[in-house]
Amino acid sequence: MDKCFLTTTPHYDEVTYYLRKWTGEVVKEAKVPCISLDETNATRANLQKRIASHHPVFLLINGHGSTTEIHGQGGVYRDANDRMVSREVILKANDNESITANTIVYARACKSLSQLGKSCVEHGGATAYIGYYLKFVFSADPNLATQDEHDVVANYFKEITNVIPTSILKGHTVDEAVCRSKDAAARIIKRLEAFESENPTAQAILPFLYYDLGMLGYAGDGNATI
Amino acid sequence: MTATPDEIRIVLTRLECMPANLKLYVGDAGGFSKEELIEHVKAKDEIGELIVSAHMRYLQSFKKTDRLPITV
Repeated sequence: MDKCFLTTTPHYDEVTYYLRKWTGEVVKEAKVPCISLDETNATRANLQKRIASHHPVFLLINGHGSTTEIHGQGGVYRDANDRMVSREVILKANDNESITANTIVYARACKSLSQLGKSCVEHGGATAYIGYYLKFVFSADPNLATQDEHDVVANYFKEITNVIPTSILKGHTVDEAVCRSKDAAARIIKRLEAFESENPTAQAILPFLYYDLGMLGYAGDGNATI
Repeated sequence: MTATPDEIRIVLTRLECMPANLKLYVGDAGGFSKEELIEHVKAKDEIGELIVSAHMRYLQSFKKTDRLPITV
């Protein structure tokens, strides 16, 4: 069976709008076939079914998350604040992490690396899990949301995150992909620092570029490739 | 860790310079304008603490010699 990868792209708020858009660029550039679980198709049942039937080598999971779970779209469930929300938990520690067996996972979601990521590797059989220790943060100009080329700020954050899946899909190791992201962040930071004193935009976003650089990591085999 | 009054003051000054057209998106908490970020910092809530922590961590990084290693 040819290699393929899978993406989940829920879309129900501003954050998931950007993550979905950025993922679209990864998919467009990829030379590996993609199974896209888009919007209301980003459910737990679909995720499990498609992984079982297609055996993707790489999972790009977008969505909101916590230390132990990542959400898709559709379904209704009660969140930690006892509110009913229209999201569904699609991947959860001590639950269904076995679906990540023999895959490289990049979770573009908050906080999941230290517990869910570790669980996927240690108990689920994931080859590696790339993610974030704390919240994933980015900045953008919402007035330019439909004009990608003009939103320089969003594009900085897009660049440092998209380089991870594009590197994995080009055959780089997990460690190389994470290093490429950190290098991209470092280069952007150095460039912006050169004129931070005259540029309020640079001053506003530099702390969060640095923050994302520090929050990124991985569990599992750093030498793994697809 | 709770931010000190000086740290809050530094961050509020920096936030005052933030362009009005930008938003900061913080996980599932959503997007925040400059004014909203200032309010959260003043309120010393979870979002405010994250904002102060990020700014201070960045400013304190200048003390490190290897703050921005390029590895590839």
